[in-house]
Amino acid sequence: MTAPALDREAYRRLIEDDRVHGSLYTDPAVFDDELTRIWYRTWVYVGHESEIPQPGDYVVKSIGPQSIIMSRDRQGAVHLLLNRCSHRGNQICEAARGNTGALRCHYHGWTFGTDGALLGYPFRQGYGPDTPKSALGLGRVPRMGSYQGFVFGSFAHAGPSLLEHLGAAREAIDRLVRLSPLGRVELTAGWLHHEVRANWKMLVENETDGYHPQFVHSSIFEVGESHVAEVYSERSAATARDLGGGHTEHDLRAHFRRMDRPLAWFGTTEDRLPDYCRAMREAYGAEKAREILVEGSPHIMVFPNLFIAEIQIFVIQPLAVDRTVQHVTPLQLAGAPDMNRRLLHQASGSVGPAGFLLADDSEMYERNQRGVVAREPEWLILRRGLNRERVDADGHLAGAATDETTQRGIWRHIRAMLTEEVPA
Amino acid sequence: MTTTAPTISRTEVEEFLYREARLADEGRYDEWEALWTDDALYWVPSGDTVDPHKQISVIYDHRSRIALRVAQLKTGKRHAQDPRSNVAHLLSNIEVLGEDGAGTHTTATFIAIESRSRGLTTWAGRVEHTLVRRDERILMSRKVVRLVNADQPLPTLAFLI
Amino acid sequence: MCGLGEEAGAVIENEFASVTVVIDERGHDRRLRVVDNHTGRTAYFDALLLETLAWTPEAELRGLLDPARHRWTVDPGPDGTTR
Repeated sequence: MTAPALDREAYRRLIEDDRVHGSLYTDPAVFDDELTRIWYRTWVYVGHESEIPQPGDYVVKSIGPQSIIMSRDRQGAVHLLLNRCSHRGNQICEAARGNTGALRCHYHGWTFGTDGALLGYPFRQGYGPDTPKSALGLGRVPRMGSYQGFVFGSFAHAGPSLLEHLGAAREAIDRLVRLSPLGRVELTAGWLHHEVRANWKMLVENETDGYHPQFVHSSIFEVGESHVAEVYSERSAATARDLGGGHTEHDLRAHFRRMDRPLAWFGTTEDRLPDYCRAMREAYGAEKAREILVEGSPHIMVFPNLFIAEIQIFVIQPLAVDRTVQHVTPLQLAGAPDMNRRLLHQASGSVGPAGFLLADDSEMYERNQRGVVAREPEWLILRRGLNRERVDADGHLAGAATDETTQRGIWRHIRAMLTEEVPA
Repeated sequence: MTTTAPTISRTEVEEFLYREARLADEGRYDEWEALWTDDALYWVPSGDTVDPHKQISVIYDHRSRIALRVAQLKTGKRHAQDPRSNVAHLLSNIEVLGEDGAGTHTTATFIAIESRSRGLTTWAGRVEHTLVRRDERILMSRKVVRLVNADQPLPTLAFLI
Repeated sequence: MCGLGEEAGAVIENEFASVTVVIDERGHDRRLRVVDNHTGRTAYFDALLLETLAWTPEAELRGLLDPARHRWTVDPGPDGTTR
């Protein structure tokens, strides 16, 4: 059952520069259009190469509702395959991960290489000699690209390259990996899968919403020793930035530069992590290491589904107009075991279904979804900071930490994609 | 401790487990928190958790984090529990597995039905306790909640499970 | 699974297959015994066979994974005979 698509003019009406229509979060026809025009077109983050370190390793990931097998074949190459037998459509992988030299469908025994090629099917004489085995491999995501180990897939056969898609977001990923003395992140600390009854865009918009923390997270700010409250207060020197292409960030560097204390962004001090700090100095030199450790980790929402949230990585998976799963894993840095233990410890307090932070964010997503079905006043207002927005030295729109510069940037891109004004 | 504390009886185990569940269900946070020892661990593994020091858990709270969790609930601003979920825990299949230096080890199955605006959510699994006798009271030093759906997407879990 | 007093076998499995491998000491030289846990089918691999497997090119190994190659080769034809 597919709802009729809305025409381009409809989206120009529903998405204005400073307000958006409530039906964009609730109308199944809009969701179907988003799948076709955004999720099955643009570059979507799928998984990280560190999740399949060995030849034969595979993990089951997703692009929206599509189940994707990310595999490493026996030669070491990475593939993005659709989790559907080319025979009669059975789902092939049931386990979330494994190691194998081939994938065998449990329904009729059709067997595929981990590169997706059909290796054979039982009782071949039933097919005669003319069945073209080479054309019967598993479906694959037409384009795959990888940056700093982050693997993205695009269902569009042609379009901008991954690097063109990432644009200014690329530099933020560089800032993430340099936190490792070996310059690599490893997503090896397991995942929590948190399901919310809300539209996916509520999550995307919230990831770089600097206006909500004082309200949504006041309970943990009150009882915990969180340094986050300050970052999103009126005293903050942080910047909300629209990087273009739907990517948005909270650039916290100015805030932490002003504090000028290594690891303040992580709520700790150098003496608590001596091995990590030493490894960083050895890798980058004392001066550069200090700069990295003062500036901290990026806070960036890479459109449409990869949220690098300083110390954890979120992946947003839309399942229906009002159903979304957020997958989250603690950041782990290659060559930094003492840091990794703390990253894991801090993440398991903050995120996931029982997290001190994320349980409340998710409560808001669900209330937002229940609220927005109300027929009046129809529109959501995204005007905050319009009066003080500026273009920064790199040509990006920038606002104060609590401004809605980021939400406006996300919607500008969504509108461009739904009206198909931009290439994938 | 030089003198051997009397073994915890099956009746005492049952009374403790039922009481713990009731205090959690009724949101009697201080009384619930007082059931923990100083070296307590409250652990809800995820489907990926093999070693809680290497993989993330849904909850992995030592004593100080249990206190933080309760303190957050008590602020009245923990939105995911404001209003509080209505919860009914059912415990069954209680077994006393044995006793060692750490305490008396028990296992039970549970169903917890949670009601809030989202609707009814069924939580189920196995719960393991380690109980100790301190002075005249029985306390828990370890509670592990193994959800049947730990490997699946979970809704928000902000009540005390 | 591991009678005759040898060491316990190791189960090697993924979601597609499950075998038990045992280092078998009953011959004059040590060899590997592989048991398909689903069917009980057993095969022995001596040092030379294992060395050969290690030298087998990828394309040939892939050929061996074709389910019709040696295992599910013939099904009943239309007249019930197998051809």
